[in-house]
Amino acid sequence: MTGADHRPVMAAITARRVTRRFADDRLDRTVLAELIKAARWAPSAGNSRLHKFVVADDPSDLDAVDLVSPGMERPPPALIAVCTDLQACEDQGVEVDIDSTVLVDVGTAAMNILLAAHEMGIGACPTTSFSRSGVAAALRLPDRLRPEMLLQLGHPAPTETGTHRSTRLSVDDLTIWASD
Amino acid sequence: MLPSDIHQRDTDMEDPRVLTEPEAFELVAHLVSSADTSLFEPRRYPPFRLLDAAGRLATIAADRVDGELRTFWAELAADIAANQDLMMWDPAGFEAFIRETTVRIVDEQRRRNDR
Repeated sequence: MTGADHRPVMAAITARRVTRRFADDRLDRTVLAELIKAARWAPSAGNSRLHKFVVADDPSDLDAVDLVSPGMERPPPALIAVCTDLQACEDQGVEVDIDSTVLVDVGTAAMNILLAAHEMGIGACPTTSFSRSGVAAALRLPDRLRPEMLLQLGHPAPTETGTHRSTRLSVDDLTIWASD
Repeated sequence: MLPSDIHQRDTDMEDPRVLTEPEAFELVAHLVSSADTSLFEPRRYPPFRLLDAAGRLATIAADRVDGELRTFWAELAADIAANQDLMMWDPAGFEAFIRETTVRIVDEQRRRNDR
């Protein structure tokens, strides 16, 4: 497609990129709360709502998370840890490591956050390469919360070009028409 | 090679201390947490993590030595930084880079032995 896409949702989807380097300035908590608001509107299998969103914006906590997260280049100004609430899973009879919807819902919530952040001019980087036990300790998570994904957040650094190599398969390559 | 062998050899040659204790702590944290993530991540990630750690160590080493040693470490660190992301875009190129880097290490060892 050439030129700007005037469909706002499609434009946001196609313009969003991962930000890996952030400016030092901290994010206002009202901004972070807006991102959680986006997450709460994500679809959830059976409306089960099995996840909690742990927000970290204290530099010492972020340093500790960075230390045990090989997928993180340096501590971001803030992050949201999308966590499975194991107690809620048990209460609802969800077998957490068998029911794939538990992780599907992590993805839908994270995507809402990524798109909302993009709209607000906030850079974001989803991260799954981290030690779960290490991050749980760094964020002082209760045993009932298991971190599944970290969303690094902050204003993009001036050196962040947003032009990381990005490969996308074509629609033809991705699509199998069931009736053909 | 056993760690004790490395220590013995270190005492026999010029010994620019490369790591401060905080740097060692950070590197060990990276390696240990990488060991943890290697339990569940796709198999192409563990070599990436090891290469990442090697790049971090090479970067530090380059700052602590001079002359030919500095050139070796600086070039190695730069090449790792430039190529480690091939893991995401070009798996065959990533594997080739690892093998080439291994040969490069052997060449460096020979160069040192020939001095």
